[in-house]
Amino acid sequence: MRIEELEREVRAERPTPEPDFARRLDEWAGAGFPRDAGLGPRSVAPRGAGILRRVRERLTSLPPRRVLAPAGSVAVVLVVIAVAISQSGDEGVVLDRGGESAPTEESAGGGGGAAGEAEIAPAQPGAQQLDAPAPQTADEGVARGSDQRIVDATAELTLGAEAEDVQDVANGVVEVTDRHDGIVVDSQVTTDEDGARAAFELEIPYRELDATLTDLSELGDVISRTEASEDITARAVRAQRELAGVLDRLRDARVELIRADTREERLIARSRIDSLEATADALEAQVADVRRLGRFATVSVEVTSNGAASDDGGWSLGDALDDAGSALEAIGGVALVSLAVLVPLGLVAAIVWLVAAHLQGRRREQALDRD
Amino acid sequence: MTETLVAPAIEAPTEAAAAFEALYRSSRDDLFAYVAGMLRDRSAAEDVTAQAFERAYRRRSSFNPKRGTHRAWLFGIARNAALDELRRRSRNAELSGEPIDDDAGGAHERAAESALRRSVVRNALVALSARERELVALKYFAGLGNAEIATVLGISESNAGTRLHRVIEKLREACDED
Repeated sequence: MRIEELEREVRAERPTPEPDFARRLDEWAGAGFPRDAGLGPRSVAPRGAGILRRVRERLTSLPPRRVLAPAGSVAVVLVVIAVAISQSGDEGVVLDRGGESAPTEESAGGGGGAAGEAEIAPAQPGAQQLDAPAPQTADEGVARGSDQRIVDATAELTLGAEAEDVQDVANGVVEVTDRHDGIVVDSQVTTDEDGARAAFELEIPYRELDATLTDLSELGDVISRTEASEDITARAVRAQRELAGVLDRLRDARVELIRADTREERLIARSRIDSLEATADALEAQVADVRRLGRFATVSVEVTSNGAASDDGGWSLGDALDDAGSALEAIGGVALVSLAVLVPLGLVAAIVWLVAAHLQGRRREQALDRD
Repeated sequence: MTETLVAPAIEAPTEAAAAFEALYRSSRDDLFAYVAGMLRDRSAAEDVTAQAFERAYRRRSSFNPKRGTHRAWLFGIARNAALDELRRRSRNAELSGEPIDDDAGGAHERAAESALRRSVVRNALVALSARERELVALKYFAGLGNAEIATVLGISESNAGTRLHRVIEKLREACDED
């Protein structure tokens, strides 16, 4: 049989739709292929099909991009909201008492005030014992046991006030420092066209730290408050031990000097004594420094106005730029964290989608091989 | 006056709706012929044809001319629906339903020689595998060109031509043997 004849015969075998089917299909098409009426394949609306199945049918009949785009958008919005909420929980007044763990840190977590002061008390004996006369034994005057630690505490407090009130707040800072037996180490108050500012460096007795911070916080609007503490017990013990050792050797050297018979021996002993005395002086200074750190907390206070001194408290272009920068910074942070969440999720979803599509295609092709 | 056959999805007739209506008009019988040739079951072919048109109608906005012609896109959808039907049929272990009747060619059977030749060709077609039968259905029942067939099957155009040539040779050999 020739190819042309064969092709003609094959074409003659072409199935044609029944007129009734063609008519019903035309009517269904004319109605816009409604699912619930007209000519539908058995698999489209099976009897007793549940809502889930109908939803699934509806979703599968949509182009993937029409499903993926809204689903992706919803996922992005949810992640961004979650990230924004989680980040916003970290903002506000910073109240951090970092450093190594110490009873004072745990007790100070609840805030300042009288309660905080009372709770700090367990650490005080350790600090106070450093005030005792120069110890001759290694551990005397420093922490004994886990509940007596020496802590180097620092705090930073930023207060906001109207430009015309900055001076009053600065006076209040000095007054509060005096009231709590503290020392104003450094102070600076500035007023110019940009506004008014004041900066203080205070030394506050450790036992008064929380009470002082509480009183200082009441002087203005607290913009930020940061507290940190470092356990310097080990440093103190080490300095004390070294000092004790040097003192022992100094005593021995003095004995050697007394027992020296020759001039040469006396010179050597004298030289050794001089060297040991210098070392002892340095170590005593170290111990004194540690004592001071244990007794006093360093507090930095900054008072800043919201605008120019002559301003009526309005919102300047600089403030706007600052706010814009802060807003952009926050948005960038949220976007970065969101991307860190979304990119891996998107990759996994894309891989799953590709694998699923590939498997479905293979299963369909296998149907041809089985038929 | 032209009757609107396919209802536009939106109130105002869109270009996509008009294009789909033209596609429906030109492809209805071809699509049925292809599906029926694949499934060899008239009832199932009617269902799959309707399902394919419905799916295509709902996805009509997703048609991308860069990926092939409108007909190739439609036949790709119909192919997936037909393959799903074949899978369901194999899962349910159903045998092929009613065979396709041969009423359409009644006039030709009047001549004995023609009837004999036709019988030979029909037997040769039945002996083809599903993949080979699909190629024949796409080419001679639906009237698709090699490029469209390649798009539907996801193969290259030259590969489609080669496969078609082999099927025709196989058919010819089967007919000559008989």
